[in-house]
Amino acid sequence: MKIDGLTLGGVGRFLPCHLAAVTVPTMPDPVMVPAAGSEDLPYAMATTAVRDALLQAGRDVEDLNGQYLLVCNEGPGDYLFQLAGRMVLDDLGVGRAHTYSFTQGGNSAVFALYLLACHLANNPDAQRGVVLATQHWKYHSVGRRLGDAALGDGAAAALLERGGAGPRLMAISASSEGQFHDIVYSEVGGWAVPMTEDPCRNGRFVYRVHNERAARFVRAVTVERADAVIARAMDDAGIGWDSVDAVVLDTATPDIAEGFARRFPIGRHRLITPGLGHAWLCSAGIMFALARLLQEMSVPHLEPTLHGGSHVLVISLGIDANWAAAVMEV
Amino acid sequence: MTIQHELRPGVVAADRMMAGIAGIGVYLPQRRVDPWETLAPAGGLDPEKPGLKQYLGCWSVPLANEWDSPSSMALAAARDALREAGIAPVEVDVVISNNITSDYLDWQMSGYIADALGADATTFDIYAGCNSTGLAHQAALDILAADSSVNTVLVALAEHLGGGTFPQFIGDGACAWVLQRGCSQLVTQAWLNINDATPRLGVLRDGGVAHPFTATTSFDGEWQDNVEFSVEDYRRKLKPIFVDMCASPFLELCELSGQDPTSFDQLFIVHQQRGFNAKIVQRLGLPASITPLDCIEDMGHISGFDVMIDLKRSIAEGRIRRGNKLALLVFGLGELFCFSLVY
Repeated sequence: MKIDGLTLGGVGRFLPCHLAAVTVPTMPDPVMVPAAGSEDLPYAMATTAVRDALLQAGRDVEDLNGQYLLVCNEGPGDYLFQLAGRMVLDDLGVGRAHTYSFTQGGNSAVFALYLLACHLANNPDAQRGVVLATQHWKYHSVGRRLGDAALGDGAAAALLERGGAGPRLMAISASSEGQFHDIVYSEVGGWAVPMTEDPCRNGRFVYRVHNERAARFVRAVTVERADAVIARAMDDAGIGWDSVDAVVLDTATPDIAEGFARRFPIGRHRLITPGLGHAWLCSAGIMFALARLLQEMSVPHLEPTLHGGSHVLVISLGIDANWAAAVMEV
Repeated sequence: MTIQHELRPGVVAADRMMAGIAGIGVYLPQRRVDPWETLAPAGGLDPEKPGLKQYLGCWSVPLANEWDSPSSMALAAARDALREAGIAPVEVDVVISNNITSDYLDWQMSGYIADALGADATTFDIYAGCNSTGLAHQAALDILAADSSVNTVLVALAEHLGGGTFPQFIGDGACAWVLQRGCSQLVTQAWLNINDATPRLGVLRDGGVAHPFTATTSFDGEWQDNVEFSVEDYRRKLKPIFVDMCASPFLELCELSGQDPTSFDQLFIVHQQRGFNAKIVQRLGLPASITPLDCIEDMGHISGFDVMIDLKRSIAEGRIRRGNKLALLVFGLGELFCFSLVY
């Protein structure tokens, strides 16, 4: 989908100051991940990230009244079965707004930008929206592991605005493969395994990979499957590979990063893989990567070197069999 | 507050074609219970209390059989919707489902449905309760309006919380509807969404990050049996304003879009107690006959998609005619929607 008139006002972040070591088979050393302290609850982290995004954009909390807040729903919030977006808006002191949580898998921030762009395109009264993801995995994961990923805690919020001087969103495309719907989920809490005392006491209320065979298959084909999504986004944006100055690929899997570098005509130095060897923050991760990229863009000796008019391709893919690609002009 | 006016031609030029509901599908379990025998006792309802039976107005509720999973019910409804619409699954571009009461938590029911149908579609699940109907319909409309590559969106929702009595008899079932670009029936003309700070009346204490489950966690029943709900807060903070609150989206929509409330031919409201729904209509200054209160009798409340089930039923029974102006009033978890459509 081609997008007109939307810019990234800011990407707010919150990272806890504590660390935890997670052993991942594909990594030679334990991965150090940010770990929430007792005061770092999901909503509090999220609220801080939203405030940070607003600050970067020179906006006040009141500027979210009547606007959008979309939440990428992966880990539980402070309490179960709550609408996280509404909880965060209440904590911020925002009144009426449009907010919902959605699940696509474990890496859906780019798709959330797509949804937000659709809402803003059809609502002339709204000026901006936030894509929010907050992660807290100490109690709801298997030893902070999810496939190849070492799960870290934190929150990120991307503020998209109509007009503005920030990086311009040019196009987003997305796809899913429904046959792989059962790779990652929480076993307990639905119809199949009701949330009763026994499974909850026995550590089964965790978000984890359930279909290992499907996960291996998706891992093997995910780069190839990303091809069409990337092509559509670039086509809608009207750019070719020769115009792509940097690619942000959020993956925790070395093979995927290597496969991507082999398949697509982009120099290795222009491929940014923040999740590799570092903490995986699910949907928050790619927003962290974007924030860092934009922060470093003015530092000339760091590669890739970005300047005004540079094009950045942002790709999310994971073992949940959903792909999304966005083209931005910074 | 925002309101969506009639889609304005020229905003995204040729992409802004109308998108109507081409088909609605329903799955209700065949198993039916008398709620006064089966559900009322557990809910502490005294059937002998004068006027209570009439106020609730429900005599039969569908409850899931052992084999009725949320996904199987949603799939059945989806097939029904596509069949009614005359649309092949391969034409579906996006599937939207809900997943608070799905087969598993954080599970991609939308992906399951797309795969089972043979649809090559982008999928996602909205994490919400009764309000998922409003959120999904709104998302579908916005996606169709903004993305010219999307022509057909399938919304397939299910609820499997039946057997409760809070504060109306709750049943199980699923509903699906297909929105298609260029379809001229049941076109949404305008809609309003109200999501505002509301009193927090209930919380499930354990299981989230604040109080995670441990090896010594102890509770009876399932999660819905353990929500700490303040009846006192409900009576004090919400009950006095609830009728007005539920009526407000319709009134605001009419005011902001310049529509006369009396110009509507039918109003479909999420099922509460029959008496409560009648109060909403009365509050709106409309005759009771504008909303099919009798639909509560043999369904109770399943989810926000009660309105879509009633709509389908009303079409089938000839209660509405082509050209009729309709409104859907959806609310849940403190969020409210009103959609105005033309059949």
